[in-house]
Amino acid sequence: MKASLRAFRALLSVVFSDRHTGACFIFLAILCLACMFAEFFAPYPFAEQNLAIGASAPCAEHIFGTDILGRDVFTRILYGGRISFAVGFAATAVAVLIGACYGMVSALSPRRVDSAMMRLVDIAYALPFTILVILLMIIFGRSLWLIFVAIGAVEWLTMARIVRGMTLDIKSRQFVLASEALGQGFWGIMRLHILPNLIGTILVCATLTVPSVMLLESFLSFLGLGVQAPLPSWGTLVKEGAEYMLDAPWMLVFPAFFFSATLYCLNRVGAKLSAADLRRFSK
Amino acid sequence: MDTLIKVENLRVSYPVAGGLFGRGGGVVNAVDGVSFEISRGEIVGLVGESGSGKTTTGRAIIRLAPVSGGSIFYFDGKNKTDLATLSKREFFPFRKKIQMIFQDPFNSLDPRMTIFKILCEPLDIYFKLDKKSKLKRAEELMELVGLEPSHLFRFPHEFSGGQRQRIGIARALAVQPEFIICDEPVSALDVSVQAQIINLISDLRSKLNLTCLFIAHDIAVVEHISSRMMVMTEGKIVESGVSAELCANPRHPYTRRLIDAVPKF
Repeated sequence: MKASLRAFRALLSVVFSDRHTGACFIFLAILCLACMFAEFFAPYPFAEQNLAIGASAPCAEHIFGTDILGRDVFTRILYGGRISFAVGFAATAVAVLIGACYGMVSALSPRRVDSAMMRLVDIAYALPFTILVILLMIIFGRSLWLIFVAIGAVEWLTMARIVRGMTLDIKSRQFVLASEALGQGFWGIMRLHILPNLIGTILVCATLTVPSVMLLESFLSFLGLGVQAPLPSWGTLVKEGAEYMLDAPWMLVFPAFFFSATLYCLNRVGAKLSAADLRRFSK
Repeated sequence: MDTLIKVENLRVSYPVAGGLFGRGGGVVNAVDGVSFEISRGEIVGLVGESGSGKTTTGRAIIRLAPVSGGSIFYFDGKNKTDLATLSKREFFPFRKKIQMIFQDPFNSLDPRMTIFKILCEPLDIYFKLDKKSKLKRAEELMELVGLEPSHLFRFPHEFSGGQRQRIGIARALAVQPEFIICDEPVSALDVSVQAQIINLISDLRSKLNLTCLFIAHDIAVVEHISSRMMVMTEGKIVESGVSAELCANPRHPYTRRLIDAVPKF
């Protein structure tokens, strides 16, 4: 626990080491909080319709305008962000959990088991996953939980590979040999040496997984396989916006801006972290 | 003399990977029928170039490499145990008696642990100590290897190579071993620091009555520290004897080549 706290603090100091990344991080933090507590920040309920005004351009009451049903776009962006972030983090957590465990077990298993496990990952990589997720949705129906699980199940593969590689590297270092020579058992070596040295990599991987998961969710929502109406997600907002982009461009522009800005910031922070971490490990 | 360890016909072989599933390859004999004896309190050198099997020999004694044949007898008073036949659990008490100092001081300390934690790892395994006595013991160990006890809460990257090697030595000494295998402890260090570490090992040997197997590729270093030495190449010991004599009068051509390889100024 202490090690992960220290790793987290180190990551924060890396993020704030340059202004650009720091600004990205602050933007993400504010947006994330605003989405989480959307009830307090949003001026209207997300499903409240006002058919009288229809799709009206941005004005004082509706700063980002309204959609064709007269729903406030700003409100819907906040609520949609909540879904997108939730899917992003939850599916990433699923991916990290499965991927890290699988990778570690694979690396610590006998060679033949290890190669069998990794060939399985190779095979899974080759499957057309979007189609698989779509099939899952059709078979089990559309539920938010299924999206978490399905996307997590897709994203763990990369994590498993990276964690396996790192574990193999750490396992062969002399401090692990020294620990073994001191009579430390398997679990002791895991707890004291392997896990603490993996945490940095896992955190970095996770930050890079979040945006790709969010993109996948919005893609599914765009296809109409994601969250159910009237619940908004950034994917469904962009989709609705795209349908009316000539008549009501604000319906597309604002959700798309927030979505791309979030993805950009997440990727920026993740890239910064991974660069810093690589330097530390090559030292 | 009082024998501490006697190695007979030790063999370590590794399968060579081949084929789709790692089958069908041959084996490589990293250590091929090595026999020697080390007496209590003695420093014996083991010299050879890289790939000669000297590190593997050391690792086989401490069970970090798989023994494929032969015996390793450990003499403890009147008892004589063959380490090569013990199971992992039966070997556990010997981990406290036999320790190892590693070659690469930049790789042998966990970068995420403070020196105190590194020194606590062996203490936690063998001695049930409260935090206060652990701290005291760690400070003693720091002083023993010539480091400042107040640096206990620093991380390995804050130390130089020589200092890190001292920490590695302190960690090995924490369990109060009888026998230490020094696996090229100075070859990753600057020449000026090498002498300090060698002197430290030789001081500690007499202070704590340790027995050492000193592995190195530099025959001059081994001649300086050890009373007897063995020369190893291609998994076999080709020549052994009293260090000074062996260096003055090398019989095997390989030994002569090692001696010629020492730079002269």
